[in-house]
Formats: sequence, structure tokens, C-alpha cells
Amino acid sequence: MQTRINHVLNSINKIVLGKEQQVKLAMCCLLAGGHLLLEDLPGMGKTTLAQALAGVLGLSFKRIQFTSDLLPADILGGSVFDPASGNFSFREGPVFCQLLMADEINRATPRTQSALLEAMEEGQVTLDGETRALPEPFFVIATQNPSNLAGTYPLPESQTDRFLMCLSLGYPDAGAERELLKAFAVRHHQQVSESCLSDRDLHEIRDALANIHVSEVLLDYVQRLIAFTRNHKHFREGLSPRGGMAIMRAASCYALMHGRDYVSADDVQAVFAAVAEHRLQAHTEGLTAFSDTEQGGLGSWILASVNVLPGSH
Amino acid sequence: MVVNAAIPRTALIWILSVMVLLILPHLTRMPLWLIVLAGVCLTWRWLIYIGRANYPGRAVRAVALFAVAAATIVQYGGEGLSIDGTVILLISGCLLKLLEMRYRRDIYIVNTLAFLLLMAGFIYSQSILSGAYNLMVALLILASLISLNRAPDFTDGRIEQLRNLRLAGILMLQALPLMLILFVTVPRISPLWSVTQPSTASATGVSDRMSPGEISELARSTEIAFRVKFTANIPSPQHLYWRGLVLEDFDGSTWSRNYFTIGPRQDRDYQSDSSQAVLDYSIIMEPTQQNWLYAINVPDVNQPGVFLDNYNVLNVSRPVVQRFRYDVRSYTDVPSDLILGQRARNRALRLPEDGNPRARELAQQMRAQYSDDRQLTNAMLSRFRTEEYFYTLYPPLMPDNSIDDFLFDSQQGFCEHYAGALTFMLRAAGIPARVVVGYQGAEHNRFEDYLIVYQYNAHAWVEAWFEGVGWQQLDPTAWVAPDRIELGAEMLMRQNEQTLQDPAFAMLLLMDRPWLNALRLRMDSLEYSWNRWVLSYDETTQLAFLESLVGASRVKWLPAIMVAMLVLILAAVVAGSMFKNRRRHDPVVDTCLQFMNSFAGTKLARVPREGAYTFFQRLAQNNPECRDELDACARDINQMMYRSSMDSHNVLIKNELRALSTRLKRLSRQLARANKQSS
Repeated sequence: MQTRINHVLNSINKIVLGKEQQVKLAMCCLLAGGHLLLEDLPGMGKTTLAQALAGVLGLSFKRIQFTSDLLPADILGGSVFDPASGNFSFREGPVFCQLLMADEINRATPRTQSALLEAMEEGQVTLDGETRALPEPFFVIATQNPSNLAGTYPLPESQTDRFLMCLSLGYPDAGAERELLKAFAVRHHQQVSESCLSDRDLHEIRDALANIHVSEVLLDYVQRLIAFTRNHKHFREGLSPRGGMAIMRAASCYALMHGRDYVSADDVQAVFAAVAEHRLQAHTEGLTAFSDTEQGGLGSWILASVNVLPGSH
Repeated sequence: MVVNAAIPRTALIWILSVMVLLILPHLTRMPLWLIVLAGVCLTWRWLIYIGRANYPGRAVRAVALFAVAAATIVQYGGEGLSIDGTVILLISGCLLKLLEMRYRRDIYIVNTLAFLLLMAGFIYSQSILSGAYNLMVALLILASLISLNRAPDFTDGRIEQLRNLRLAGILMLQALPLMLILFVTVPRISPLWSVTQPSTASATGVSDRMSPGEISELARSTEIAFRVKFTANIPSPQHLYWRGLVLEDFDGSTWSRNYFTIGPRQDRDYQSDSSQAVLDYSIIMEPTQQNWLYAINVPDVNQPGVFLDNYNVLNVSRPVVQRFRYDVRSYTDVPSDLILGQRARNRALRLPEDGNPRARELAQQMRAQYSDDRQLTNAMLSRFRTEEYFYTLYPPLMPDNSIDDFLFDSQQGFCEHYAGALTFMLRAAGIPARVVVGYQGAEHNRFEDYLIVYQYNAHAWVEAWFEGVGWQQLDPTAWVAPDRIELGAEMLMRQNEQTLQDPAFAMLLLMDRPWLNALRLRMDSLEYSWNRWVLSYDETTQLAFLESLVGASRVKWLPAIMVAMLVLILAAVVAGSMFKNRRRHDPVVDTCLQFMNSFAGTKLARVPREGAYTFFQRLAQNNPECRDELDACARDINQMMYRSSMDSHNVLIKNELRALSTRLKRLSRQLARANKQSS
């Protein structure tokens, strides 16, 4: 299983250059069955990554570009009058696929956003009093521009909470950039044709996740992390239990991807920022406090502050 | 805690049922008005509970209070502060409180009262059965307290109640060791004041007066008089004469005890020639409300409050109102009163001026016939056998000249008739004689190897004084009905048709089935053990037990040890709760931390975010020569820390731990050497 996962990662890395860690985390997120939020500036390769993921997982892929006038029906679909038969027939919206890419999700109005987010949570769509199940598995990769850009409706906390991870790709390093620049003509709209993982593989991975061993030492660590976010004055509110469970889910999947049947503190540290950061909101004075002292964001600041092992005695 | 909050409904059901159970044992002692009050109060509270009635108003409550107080004073006021009156007052108070049990604080009061009432129950009965019953009620009171304090979890009510009951049971089980320790060690202080005894307890057993028909009345009772445990072998039945009182005064129909001549016995240092003649046994007597004890002649008791009088009767300073245990040593071959003083002789010969002329005449005739006292006595005894005499529990009534009537007309009598007649004739013939009352025979309980003496073993016999022999025991019954002595009173009852129709002996008939009899004896042996080890555990036995436990010389340290133990237990409880709150330490983590902390202060010191794995990787980068070992270590530690379960106390993990610890030591030596070389 691990070799196959490595194979998948390699083939994605051929398309998304120089972003090994982000690709790994994105993969981890999908394998853990969570939805992924990509937060970055336009043109950083968000769509490319999403397309590559859909390709290697062999999932049916659809994409919606969110705009401010997008309506729920544009996502979910709706009933259309058929003059020939004289009946209303349901026309499926783009949400009826296995991997949905919601581009620039924060450009749509909250009403439209919530239509999608409900589908994400329930795995089903209810229209005209009829409930229709979405295909299985169902992933959403949403991208969003940093919310300080003009014309955006920031997702409320309750909705960002639905995404298992939030990643930002960032600028590629010099070597990768050079590769990109060299092959600007070829790389455009390059697709992964061969799918490396089947639906069955995904199921197997989900089953294996249940058997990953979690030790008390690790639980202590995770609890310390959560407690830190709840007790520290820099945070408006701490991590919710759902957030804690998300950490565990992502960390176990990360361990599985590395061929281990137990979760170690390093797994937690690897996924922590991606899982926790978008669920946390820091006060402004806190933001300045740690962004001055530390490289990286909120997540790495927390990791640096919390002892991995129980305090010395 | 909100004391003014409404009462949880489940708690109310508990407390109401507890009240019913608490009142039940007192029912027979309760006056009629109290039973009516109980019915009214419980029903009213129930009606309030189901919403059919309202709480009584102030006026109703006031009237009820005064009525109850008045009724109690009228009924029990004359006796001063009697136990009965107090208990009745307590019960009625509890019942009235039920009617104003509106808030939480009220139900707390009722709960406390319930505990008080529970203890009051022990005044009347301390049997093993009532102990078990009260334990059950205590469980229910606890459950009611728990249901009062536990937030309802809105699941199935029945399951919730069962859970309360289980918690109460667990609490009681936890209290059990403490109870045992306290029972054994807490000093037994005799009560500082005495209270008048419950009126229901009337004197039972043999009395200090014997008129015809009195003992036969007693002999129809199957109640237990006392239980005896012999340290050595049990003597044969015909030697089991449990001597109670000596009755010397005769007024023509009734023999009675002469209280004016009783004095403590002076010559008490008995010596026995053969050890077989000495019997050691301990008796647990049921309460008699009387001042004397029973023992085999000649008894010697070394116990405060018990003294032997000049009639060889054991007297106690206070009436036996509770089960009473005493240890006796009897010297069966020691003669008593070899010299009879003139006054004593006169007392033992005194007869009424007139009455029973025929008996006197017969005695004179026989006196003329036999000059020797012993021969005369034997002749009188054998007369009971040779003439047509009958031994019966139901003798005809003999109003006046009872001895003459018995001796010459009816010739039917129970032991008291024979004993009285023989004493009378002996005295008429000039031989000093007296009547002795007590018990004869016993039932052997094979399960615990002790004897049970029932009221139907009640007996009367004679002691006559002979020159050179002293007082000698004579039993005319043995001549009339030898079965009574050899086979026991019970056998005799069985043979008699009339007795068997007596309802009191229905139980006896029932016991003919061997398994039922065995069951009865087992129950009795259980109760006997209970009496022996629990109820009679007083100051003396406590001291003896503790001395046997820790040695006589160390007993005086016991209070200090107890206090120390109490402090220790408290400390243990506190430490236990602190330990529980403390984080459990994982030995693997501890071992690694020890290693990693050794780098503290150097540039390699661990930062908080570094786990063992990352730290070792960093070490490996800094010390390339040990890289392989460090990498392997990092992997293994990661496995041990995160893969193995927390149960690090099993052997496998312990071995791994030891291996890890030696490995780390070796590693730090290696690193130190490498650093020295590089510097």
C-alpha cells in the first residue's frame, strides 16, 4: 500500500513541482476522507494540484468557479420542465461527482457557500423534498483567495471547520520555478491520465486507519496541544473537540502513508498546522507577538510552545 | 446545595418505603392511635405525591402535634423517661414530619430521623435476623440519600434506581472493614446512666416463688432459657442440674425465697481431688429480668457484679435485662455446709403451724420406723415409686392442704409437687431440707457442640442436709419418672398425648423430620455464635481478645497505635486521591527524558517541540560517526513510545526498557568520547 501511495505522490510531484510536503498533506487529507481547503493567491497552482489529485485517485472530477452571482441551484442542480413529456425532470448540478473543485469559494455569497457546505457535511442533497445521495467517495477541494482581497465573503468559522485541512502552497523555490519557466508551453493543462488508486484502495485505507495504534503518550501530547489553544490568552477560542478529532484523523493517515501502524508525535506535528490553523483565530496582539518571533504561522508557534514529552520532573 | 429546592420524586418514594419498613418492627409495641396516625400520615403523603391532596395547613399540623404529644404523655408520662415512650415519640415525630416534607431540607431531616429510628430498633431486638433486616433498611436509606443527591439522568427510572441501590451497596461494603475495626477496637464504655427498661419485657423463667402449677406452666414454653458451652466434655444428662434458686420458706401452699438470710459466701476457696469433677463452661443467658444466674453446683464465678451467696446461688447486682454471658467453674464433688448452724437448721426445718396433717402423720410414722436419716429419706423416695404416682404436666388443682391432696388423693403431679411434698415430709421428720428450682437437662447442638436449655427444662428438686455429708441433692422426679431425667423433658412431652395437643409443642412435632431439626439446630448455632462473638463482646472480652492479638504487655499502647493508624489511613486516602490526580508516567518517556535532559545546557539541548525522534535525528546530524546507532535508537524509541500500549508493567516491556536504558548509556559514553576527540 505504501509503495502505491508513494507512486501516487511521485506522479503528482511531477506536475506540481517543488511542493512535496503540501502534496503529501493534501493526499493525506483526501485519504483521511476529509475535505481540503487551499488558500493562496491566484496562479499558485491550486487548480493544478486539485486536478492532479483527482486524476491519480481516478475520481470523476468537476469544477465550479464561484462568483458573487452564483446561486445554489448552479451547484446542486434543479428541476427543469420538459415540454415533450410535460414533466419536471431533475438535472444534476456539478456537485454530483466524486471530486468537486470549488474555485474561489469565498467569492460566492454565504447562501451559495452554505449550499455546498451542507452537501459536504451530509454527503447528500435535498431538493424539491427529495433527498439524493452524492457519489461515494465525495471530496471537495475548495480554493480561496486570502480574505483581505476585495470582493470576498469570508467563510464563517463554522464552515471552515468542515475542512479537514487548510493548505497554502506558496511560491515555488528557485529550482522548481526554473523548471516551470522552462517548460511553460508543455506544462499548460497537463493531466495525469493514469489513475493509481482505485475506490477499493480508498476503502482499504479507511479500514486501516481504524487499526492505527494511538498510545497514551501521544494522546497526552495532543491534549496538551488542545489545552494550550484553549488556555492561552492569544486565542479567541480554543480548538473544538471536532478539531481535536481532526488532528487525530489526519495524523493517523499521515502515519499510515509512512507505512507505520502507530501515530508518533512527528505525525501530529506534520499535520498540526494544516489541520488547526484555519480553526483558530488569534487576537491581533497575539498575531504580531508570534509572527515577529517565529518563522511560519500560528501552528508552528503552538508546536514550538508545547512540550512533546511530559514536563521534566 | 439548594436546600429549598423541591424533592426529587424518586427520593420521595424511597423515603416513604423506608419509613414503612422502619415502623414495621415496632408495630406490636405501638399503641392503636399511633398505628392509625401512621396510616393517615403515609396515605396523606402518598396522596400529595400523586397530586390528589394538598399539604396540611398550619392549624392541622398544630392540632396533630399537640394531640400526639398529649397522647404520648397520657400513655407513657407516668413512667418518667421510659424507652418505650421515647421511641413512640420518635416514631410519631417522624410520621408528622412526613406531612410537612416539602423541600429538600425536610427530606434531609427525615433521612436523619430514619437513621435514628433504625438505631432505636436495636433496643428491642439484637438478633441476627433483625440485624440483617436493619442492614437492609440502612441500604435503602442510603439509596434514598443517593437518589436525593444524584442528578437524574433521564434514562429508564428503574435502571436509575437500581444504580442508586448498587452504589449504596458499594458504599456499605466499603464501610464494612472500617466497621469491623471499630467494632473490635473502640473502647466499650458502660452506659453512664441507666434507663427504665421497656415495659414489654416481663420477668421470664423460673421465679423466686413456687406454688403448685407454676413450673408446669413454665414447662409448656419452648423458649430458650440459656445456652451452655463446655470447654471439655459435656456431662451426661442426669448430671445437668442447672441450679437456680433455693426456696426455703413455706406458707402452706407456696415455697419462696428468704431474702433476709442471703449473704455472700465466705469459704470460697474450693479444692477438688479429681480434675474430672471440675467443670468449666460458659453460659449465655437470655434476659430474665431477674437477679440470679444458673449453674451446676457448686459454682464459682470470677466476674465483677456476680457473687455467690450462702445458698450457693449465683446472684448478679443488676437484673439480667440483656443477654448475659458468664464463665463458670463448678466443683461437683465438693461438699457444702458440712456444719449447719442452728439458725440455718431451724430455717431448714420450719413448717407452718398447721395444715397437711396426713403428710405430717406419715412422716412421723416413717421417722419411728427408720432411725437413720439416710434410710428414712430413701424410704420416702422409694414410696414415690412403689405407690401409684403419676408424673404429669397437667395435674389437678389442689386448693388447700395441697401436699396432702397430692400425696394421698390425686397422686398426680409435676416436679414441683414432688419436690414440695418431699421437702415437707423431710422437715416433718426432722431432716433439714429445702426446695431448689432451676433447669434440668439440655439439648445438644452438634453443629457448634453446645447445649440449649429451654424453658420446658424447668425443674424443681430437693436438697437435704445429712451429718457428715452436707447438703445433698435429691430428685424425687427421678424416682417417679426416671425418663424425665434420663431422656429429657422433651421426650416426656412427646410421650404424653395431652402435651402434644398443646400448640406450644406443635413446633416440636414438626421437628420430627430430621432435616428440619438439623435446620433448626443450625439456625440456633448461628444465633449462638452471633450472641457469643458479637453481642457479648464487652469490655472484658474486648480486652482479652486484644491481649491475645497483640500480647498483654502491649495492650496499653493500643490507643496510641489506633490514633497512629487513623492518621495513617487518612494520609493514605489523601495520598491516594493525589496520586489519582497526578499524571501517570510512562517509563519509556522517563528513560528518554533522562537521556535527553543530560544535554540540557549544551547547544544540543532539547527544545519543547522536539520529540525523541526529532531529537535523535538532530543528534545524528551533529554526530555523523554515531549516525546509524542514533537512527536505530530513534526508530526503536518511537516504536516503544507510540506503538506499545500504556501497560508498561508487563515483563516484556520491562525487559525492553532495561535494554533501552543500557543502550542509551552506551550511546552517551560513545558521544562523549566522540566529542572529546573532536575537541
